[in-house]
Amino acid sequence: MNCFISDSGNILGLPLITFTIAFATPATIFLILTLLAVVKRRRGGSRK
Amino acid sequence: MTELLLVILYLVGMMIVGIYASRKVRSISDFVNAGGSLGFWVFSLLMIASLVSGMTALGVAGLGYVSGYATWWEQLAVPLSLVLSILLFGMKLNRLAKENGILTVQDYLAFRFNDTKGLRAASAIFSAFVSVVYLIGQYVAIGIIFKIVLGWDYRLAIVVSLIVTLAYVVAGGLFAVSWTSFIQGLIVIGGLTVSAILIVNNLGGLEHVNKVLTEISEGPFAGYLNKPWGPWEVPLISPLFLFTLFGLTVPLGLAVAPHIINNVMSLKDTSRMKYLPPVMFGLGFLLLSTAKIIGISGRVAEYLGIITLPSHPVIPGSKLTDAIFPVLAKAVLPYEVYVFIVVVILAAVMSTTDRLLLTFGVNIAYDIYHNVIAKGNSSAKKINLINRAAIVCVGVLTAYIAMSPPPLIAWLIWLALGIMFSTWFPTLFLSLYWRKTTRNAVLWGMFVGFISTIIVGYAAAKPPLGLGINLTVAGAPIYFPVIGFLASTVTIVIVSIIENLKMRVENEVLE
Repeated sequence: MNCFISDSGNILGLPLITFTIAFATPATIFLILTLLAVVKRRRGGSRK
Repeated sequence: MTELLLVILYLVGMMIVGIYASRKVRSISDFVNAGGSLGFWVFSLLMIASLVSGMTALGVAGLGYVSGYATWWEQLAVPLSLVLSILLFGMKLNRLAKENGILTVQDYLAFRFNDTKGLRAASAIFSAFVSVVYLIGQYVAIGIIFKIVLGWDYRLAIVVSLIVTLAYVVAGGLFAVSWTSFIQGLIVIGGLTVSAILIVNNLGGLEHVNKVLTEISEGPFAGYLNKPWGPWEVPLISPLFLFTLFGLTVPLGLAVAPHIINNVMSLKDTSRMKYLPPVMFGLGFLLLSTAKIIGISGRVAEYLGIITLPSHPVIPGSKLTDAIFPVLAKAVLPYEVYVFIVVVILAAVMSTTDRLLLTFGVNIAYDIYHNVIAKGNSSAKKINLINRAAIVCVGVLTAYIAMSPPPLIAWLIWLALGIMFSTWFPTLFLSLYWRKTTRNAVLWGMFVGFISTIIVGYAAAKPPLGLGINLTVAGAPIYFPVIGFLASTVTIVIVSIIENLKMRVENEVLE
């Protein structure tokens, strides 16, 4: 086990499901929104 | 003494920025939506600062103290409300505003349905009502914080903040609000982030805080503080209640809140809107999550005997959970950092207060007086005069009510959020995305949403404390505005279908 995941399966002292909702989900949403913005920019650029 | 000097410095600074911004105001458009000329970052911070209120800095931390991670959905819902505001409404409304000279949402409805009176007036009245309720809540928050942190007289604190906000809003309209919001937004983001890091480190790190959280066996929601939801039938943390509150009401209601959605017409470059969703979500999540972690740390600090929360001034036998941020900061942060917390909270409260004052003024002067009563024939000078008079009147009135807050105030603030969700979301969404939506359908939908939310809210929420937890479906509590939202949506759809059928029949008869 690394320094974040304990032997009991907790991450940062939280159950896996809580950690996923609290930190992994927002990180994923942020990533998706960033990718969408970049894709839209490229599409906008190609039209010009 | 240092706190007082910092507060005075902050208030004077805001007044100078606001009055300086007022030099740019030359027309009604400048006052109402900064002439549609705001740059990307000023606009971004305006959206964030309009959203972040005393409720965010104090209420979110308070909810973290009470319920831990079981209400973490709030940290996703609130930032997503800004993303939805931009994606669903901002992109279309900003383009329409540029093409058709639209300054407010009421302008859009009048333009969309070719109705210069009824629809515009109804929408403006609902918007003004929501702004008034929110304003009272903001002044109550200001009074409580000054009293707890600085030991000021509750009423004196309200009067001082009223004078400062009125001075720069009356002078500079949205230019002043956006420039001061830019600074206030940076103060709140920086302040909450630094506070959360220092507080968590002081308590042994986030992992240690989370571990201690699991040991807490007494107090509200003990046993569920480190879980993402609670049992089906438990109010506030039931999965169905969390879904109706943070899955529907908060993201959809805040997305169309008058003090937020009216900002979207002020961005200069429509093409840059596509970059806003990640920026809004990132900054919003940073703000909301740091506030919640501060609250969670507060619960742990209390368990460890580091702090004791004061009693609630209104509710006997309860603790003042919304004071957890300043109480915890005072106990664990170095004095030099703690004194800045006052300014951080003040910036959070004032950044929403000023936008609400302006929204009310524009509703009265521009939407109702200029467009409905004077039929678009009044001078810019007269509109600006009425706008400023309305802002002063509502500021004084709401501050006066906040000095002796009515027992219904908590219920009214939750009700205001419910009204945004049930009254405006179906109206704006269907108006923008369903071509068959008719003017009468929207008018009826707004009334049905407004009235049914008040009735259901009153019946379900048991004022003055209500969160609507007495309303249950299949044994689980649900958040009451969902009923008004469904009633409003169904009304708009059915009336639109009937009117479209009627028009088709009339056309066939004529042919």
